[in-house]
Amino acid sequence: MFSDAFTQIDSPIHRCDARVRIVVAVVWSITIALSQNLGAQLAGAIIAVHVAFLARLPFWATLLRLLPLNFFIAVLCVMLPLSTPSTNLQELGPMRGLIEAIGIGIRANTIVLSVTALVATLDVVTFGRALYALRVPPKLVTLLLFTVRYVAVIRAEYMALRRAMRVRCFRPRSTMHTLRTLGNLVGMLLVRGLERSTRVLMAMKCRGYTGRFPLRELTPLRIVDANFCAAAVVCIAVVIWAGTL
Amino acid sequence: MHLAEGIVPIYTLAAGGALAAGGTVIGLRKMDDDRVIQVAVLSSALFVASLIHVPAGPVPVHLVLNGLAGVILGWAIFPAYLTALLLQVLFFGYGGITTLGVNTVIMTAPGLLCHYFFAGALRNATRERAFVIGMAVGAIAIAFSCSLLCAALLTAGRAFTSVAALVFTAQFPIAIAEAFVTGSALAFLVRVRPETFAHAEKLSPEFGAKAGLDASA
Repeated sequence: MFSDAFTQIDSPIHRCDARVRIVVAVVWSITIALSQNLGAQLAGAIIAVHVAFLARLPFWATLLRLLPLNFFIAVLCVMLPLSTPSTNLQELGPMRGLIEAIGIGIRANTIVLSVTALVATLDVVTFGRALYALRVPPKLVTLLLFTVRYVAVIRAEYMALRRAMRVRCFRPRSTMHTLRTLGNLVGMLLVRGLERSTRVLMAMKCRGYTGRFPLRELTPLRIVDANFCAAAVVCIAVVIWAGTL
Repeated sequence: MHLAEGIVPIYTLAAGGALAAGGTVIGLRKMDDDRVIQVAVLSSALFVASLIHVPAGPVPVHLVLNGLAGVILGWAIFPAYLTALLLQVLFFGYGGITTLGVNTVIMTAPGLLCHYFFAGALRNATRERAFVIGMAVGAIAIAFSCSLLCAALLTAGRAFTSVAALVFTAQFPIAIAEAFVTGSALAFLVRVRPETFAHAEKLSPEFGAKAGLDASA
C-alpha cells in the first residue's frame, strides 16, 4: 500500500534530522502559500526543484505524484479566464484569470514537490518519533503509527473479500445490487476491524501496553542540521525578498 | 474531495487550522488510551474502504464515507481524519501541509453532525430503519462537505464561482452512490454487530469484558 520509493535513498537531505526537516517543510510551505507575485513564486519553484534533485527523488515516481494535482490546475487554467471579470478596458479579465491560475499551479507544485523531498523521504517510524519530539500529543502519534500498520493488514483482508466476490461472479455495474453489495463489503470490513482491534488490544495489554508506544529518542542535532537550517532560512529570505521586488 | 494547495487566502487556512486543532484536542480528550487502537483500526478500515471505486453511471467515483465514519467514531473522527489526511500527504502527495486543517474540517464537520443527529437513532434500529438512516447520513455528509469545499473556494475570490459550481455539480453522482453504500453498510452492521452503536463514544462494555479489562483492571 504505502511504497517506500522515496525513503530508501541516500542523499544529503536524507541524512538531515527529521525534526528539522518537518519544521522547515511547514514554514517553507506557509511562505510559498502566501507568496503573491510571480517573482517570489518562480524563486520558490527553482529552489524546490533544486531540493528535489538534492534529495535524489526518483524522476518518474515524483512526476506521477504531481500528475493528479496538475490535472486540477489544467481545469483551473480553463475555468478561471472564463470567469474573471474585467475591471476596466485596458485590463483584460481572461488574461488576469490565466495569470492567477498559473500562479496557483506554481505554488501548488512547489509545495507538493518540497514536501515530497523533505518529509515523504522519512520512513514512518522516524516521522512518528520526530512528531513525538516536536511535542505532538502522544495519542495522535500512536494513532498515526497504528493506522499505517493496520491499513496494510486491512487492505489484505479487503483483497481477500474482493477475490471471494469475484469467484462468485460479482462484477461492479451501475446497479442497485452493486451498491448494496459494496455496502455490505464496507460493513464487513468494519466488523472485522472492530473484532481485530479487540484482539490487538488484548495482545498489547498482555505485553504491558500502557497507552503509549515506547519510541526510541532521536539522536541530538548535529552541525549538518544547523547548516541545513541556515540554508533554509536563506531560501525563505530569498522568496520573501523576491516578493518585494 | 479536497482543497489543493496555493488557492485559498491565509485567513481561510488559519480558520481551518484553528477549527481542526480544536476538534482534534476534544477528540483526543474523549478518546481513552485503550480506544486509540480501536479508532486506529477503524480509521484504517475506512481508509481502505474509501479507495473502492463505485460505478455511478458513466464515470467511476470513489467513496468518501465521512458520514459513516462520523456515526461510528463520534468526536474521534477529528484525530482519525487528521492522521488519514496526513498519511495521504506523505504517501500520495494529495493536498498539502497548509491545507491540512481546512481539509480536515471539510471532511469531519459533516461526520460530527451526522453523529449527533443519527447515532442515537441507530441503537436498537431495525435493518430497514438503519438503511434509511444510512442513506440520509451518506447523502447529507457529502452535500455538507461539498458545500464547505465550495465555501472555502469562494473565499479565494469571485473568479472561483464557476469552479465552485463545477465542484458542486460533480457531487451528485457521489452523493447517490454514497447514500446507498452507507445505507447498506449500516444495515449490515445493525444486523451483524448491533453492539457497535451501543456506546458510540466509549468502548462498548462487551469490548472491555472480552479484553478482561473492566472495573477490576
